[in-house]
Amino acid sequence: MGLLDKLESFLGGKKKDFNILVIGLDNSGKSTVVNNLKPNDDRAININPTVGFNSEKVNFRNLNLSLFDMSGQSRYRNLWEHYYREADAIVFVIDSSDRMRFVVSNEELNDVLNHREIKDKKIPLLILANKKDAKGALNESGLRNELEINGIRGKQYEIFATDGLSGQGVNDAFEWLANELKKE
Amino acid sequence: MDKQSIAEEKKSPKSQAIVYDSDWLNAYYDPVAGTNSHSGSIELADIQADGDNKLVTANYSNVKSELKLKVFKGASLIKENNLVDVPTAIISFYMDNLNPRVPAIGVASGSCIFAYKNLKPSFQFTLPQVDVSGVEKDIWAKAKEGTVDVSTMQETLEDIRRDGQITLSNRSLLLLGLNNEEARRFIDVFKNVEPKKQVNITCLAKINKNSSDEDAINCLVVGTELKNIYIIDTEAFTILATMECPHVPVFLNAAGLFDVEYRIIAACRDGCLYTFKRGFKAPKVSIPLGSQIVGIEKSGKNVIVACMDRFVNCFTTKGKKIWKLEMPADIITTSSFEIKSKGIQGYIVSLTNNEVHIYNEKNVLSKFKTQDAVVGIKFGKFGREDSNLVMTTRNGGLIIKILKRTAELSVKDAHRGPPEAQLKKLDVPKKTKLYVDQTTRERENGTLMHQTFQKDLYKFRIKAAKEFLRSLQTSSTPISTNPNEPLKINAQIQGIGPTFKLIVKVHNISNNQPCLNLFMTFIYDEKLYRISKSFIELPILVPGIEYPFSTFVHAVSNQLISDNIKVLLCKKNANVPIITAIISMPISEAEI
Repeated sequence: MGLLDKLESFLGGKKKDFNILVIGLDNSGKSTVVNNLKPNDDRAININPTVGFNSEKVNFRNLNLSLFDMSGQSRYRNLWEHYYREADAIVFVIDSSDRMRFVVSNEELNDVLNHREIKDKKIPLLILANKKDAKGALNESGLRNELEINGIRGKQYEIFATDGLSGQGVNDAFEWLANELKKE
Repeated sequence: MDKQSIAEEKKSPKSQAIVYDSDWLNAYYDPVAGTNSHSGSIELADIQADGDNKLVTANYSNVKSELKLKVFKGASLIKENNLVDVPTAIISFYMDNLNPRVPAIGVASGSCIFAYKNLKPSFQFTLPQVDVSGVEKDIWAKAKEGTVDVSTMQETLEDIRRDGQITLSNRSLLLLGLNNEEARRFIDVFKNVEPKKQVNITCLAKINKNSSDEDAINCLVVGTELKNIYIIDTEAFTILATMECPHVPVFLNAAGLFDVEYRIIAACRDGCLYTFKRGFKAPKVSIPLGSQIVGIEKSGKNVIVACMDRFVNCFTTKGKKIWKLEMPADIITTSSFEIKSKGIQGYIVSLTNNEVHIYNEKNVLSKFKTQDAVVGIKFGKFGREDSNLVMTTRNGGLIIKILKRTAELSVKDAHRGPPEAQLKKLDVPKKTKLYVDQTTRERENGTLMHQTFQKDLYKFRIKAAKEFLRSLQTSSTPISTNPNEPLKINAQIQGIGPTFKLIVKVHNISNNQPCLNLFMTFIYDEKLYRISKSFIELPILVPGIEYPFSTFVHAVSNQLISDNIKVLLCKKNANVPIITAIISMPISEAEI
């Protein structure tokens, strides 16, 4: 596979730079997940609530990913839509232990998918059921029911249970995303 | 520009499509959460100082083991504390300056306030007992001496209770409920202890002590069954101020700083609002409502009062009524809300028809149905989300709704104020010089002008009366004034000349009286006209029928002049005509 990729890039046929929009409610673990994708030396030890957004460049499976780690606080959520136009993929992070706010996550996810910049755009959607090891966390199938995820139409989507702190499941999830991006 | 239009496009179809419930996300509903709490015993506070607000409810029940203080994190119960007595109110307050800022929860039950900190009981404050009234004291003194028997004692106490002027101590009230033998033993046990009155707390509120910061130290405002309002320092738990209320306060609303200036509004059981200010023991303002009060809220500088008669009233703090609004059903409870990020504030009303309405002043912003009647409402930050509506239902259920980020909470019902036209300015023309001069003249010569006018008016009236009298005397009117000959005459001229046709219609306008012996003749200038039949004899005139009579009039003069012809209707053998008609002749055309 690695050899083929290299060959591909030598031939220069395929796009390799992608903008990934990372969104989700506050305290869902977006910055932690993004932090986990960085090389070990660059990782931050303490993660504070994001203000506005952070932009990170990560090389993943020979793809150059520009991750836009948006703030999830309600007063910053209206910034998300300003990045929809440039986004090549969306990562939606959910705190699977925060049952009270599943409705809010659902509402925000629906708003994203029904937004006119996103609605007719064929981009992959990666849903992360984060904090899977936290007390009271719901698994991915439970989350599928709670969030009307099965009703998503016209998008390639997948849901992965992850743990941003330890990095469990994050690699698998982004592996899927990378494959989806390469298909295009 | 582009972004704005996107946002608008997204919002508009939603707000139009659904009227009910569209602004709120149904986060949680548990019909058996066991939260039997009213609005005064629900609190949202960051009691662990971890940025995650918890829900604290104090539950009332008939069963003592179910009296509990419950703490919810999200939907899950994280702590339960047993309460010793029925809680009447809870409140979160800051009692120290330690960091991190951890608020305490104060639970009022009986005459005590129990302070909980970090989910643990930390302090108990009991209000000082009050001496009982002289009469009651005397009776117990006699009981101690043994000079009074049980039944006399019970009768006297019962008389005091029925009188209603004096509140009895708990001990005397208990005694009244006992039968003779039990009462005797009860007296034996208690007669040696001096009777004291317990002060039961009815309601709680808080004000900041000396700083308006949100996490500054609070003072508690406590209303009691003995018609007192106390302000309690929470650092040392001492009474800072006492106020006397004309009746038992049941709802309190306090604002301001204790050390600077504050205002306490108390809603009492006599259906009145009383306003207290710093430094006064007695109320400054009293507002009678005429109905029992179910909730008071502050709305800006005004007070919103919900009453049992379905009306929500708005008053200024000085007691002036601004408006009132009728609800479609009885009001159960009220709560205030404020969304700082949107700049919206107002009040929430729950009704017996299971509806919850959210108002700003007189305008409804949102309304929805709930699964059960809501008895307790609290709006605020819960968990990490800012705008939550926490509601407890009559059967102990818990409903949590979260306000949508995109919700606008705009005024939904039609404009109810004065009509638009009333506010439009009329285009009144400027005063001209003539107008100004005239008004000055009228001001200066007012009396003279009035006198002149009156004099002319009298002259005019006397002239009119004279003319009328003359016409009556000569019967020169076309309608008869003689009641025996009620006739009406109507003459007309046809043709353009020189020959005209004169038609005279005579009408008997009486109901049943025919007219006999009448004839008609004409007075005219013979130099100008010639009438072919100058005398017409009339047949019997039957009532109700119009009789036309005609004759030809020839203009004989060649000059272009005209004259009047008088038609006389006369009775034979009478010398005055009954009626007269005057015909003004047109100018005749020349003969061809």
